[in-house]
Amino acid sequence: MPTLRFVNTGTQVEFTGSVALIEMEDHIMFGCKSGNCGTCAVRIVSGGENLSEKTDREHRLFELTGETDPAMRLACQCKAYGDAVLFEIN
Amino acid sequence: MEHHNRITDRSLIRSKPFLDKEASARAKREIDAFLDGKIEEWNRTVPYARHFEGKQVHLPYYRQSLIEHCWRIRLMRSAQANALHRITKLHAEAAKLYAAYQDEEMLHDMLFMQDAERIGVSRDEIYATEPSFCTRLLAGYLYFVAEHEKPLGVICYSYLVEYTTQKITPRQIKAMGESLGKDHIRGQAAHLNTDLVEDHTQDMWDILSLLVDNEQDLTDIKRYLSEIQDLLKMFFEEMYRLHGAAEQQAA
Repeated sequence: MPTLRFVNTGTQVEFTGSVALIEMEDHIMFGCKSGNCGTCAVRIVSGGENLSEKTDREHRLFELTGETDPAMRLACQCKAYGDAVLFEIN
Repeated sequence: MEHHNRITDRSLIRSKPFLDKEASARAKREIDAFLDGKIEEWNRTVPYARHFEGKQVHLPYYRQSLIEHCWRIRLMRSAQANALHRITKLHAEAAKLYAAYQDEEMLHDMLFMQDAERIGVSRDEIYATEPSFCTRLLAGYLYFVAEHEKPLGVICYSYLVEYTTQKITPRQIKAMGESLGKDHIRGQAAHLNTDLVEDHTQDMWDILSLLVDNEQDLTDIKRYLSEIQDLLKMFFEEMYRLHGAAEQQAA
């Protein structure tokens, strides 16, 4: 069963098939939940290839804020299809 | 003696609003013009008012304003939640809109804390810093207004914050991107983005519009906006006394 591991809280969640990271409210803080505020920013430590592609909203916010690290994602915009390790920024 | 329902709360019954769509738009234009005048007054009377739009940022001033901003968000969200409780009993639909706004904004102190960390101010340092007397007065004012006057006075705070953010903050963020570096103000830039994209100014007006029941409420909106600005002004005057005035004397 694929697993999401959260570095900051030291927790992990198993799932079947796929899971939207917006469901991970016990592990990640969310703000607007629509890809505009960046409260839910996470750095993908590994397993980036198991996440959905970056959305236009992620591209727009990261461009606006000058964020260039390709491992940064907005959790409210991501779906996971396999194992991933995430570092919660907030 | 006959038994009647002792609960008189009728907030779920939709009634014809005092302001129809056209009247609401007209009232908004009038309030916005009033606020534009208040912004001019602010720029004219508050020392250092446009400091963040300049080429150089005074770091101790910026540092304290960031810490206070975190506290202002934290304290006002509690006061606003208290008002939300009141509004649920007055107008359920207005309460629903304000709850959605609170859901979006509730954790945004984190964005300012991120920027504080980028200039070396830790979260622990923020928690250990007591908010200023002026900020505590502002929070107290919002509780007072909700408890003894009109909860719409608390929405006036949200409207003022969102309106001025829309009008002033884009210029500040652009200038601070150059003076402090874009990577140092990521949290504030993201916060601005959500306020603009979600059009929080219009959201707050929609709530105010639902809560206006008569002409007196429209008059009182201006009084609340003025008083809130006066309280905010006290903090920035104090900041100037602490930082800007000393700097000018040294120059």
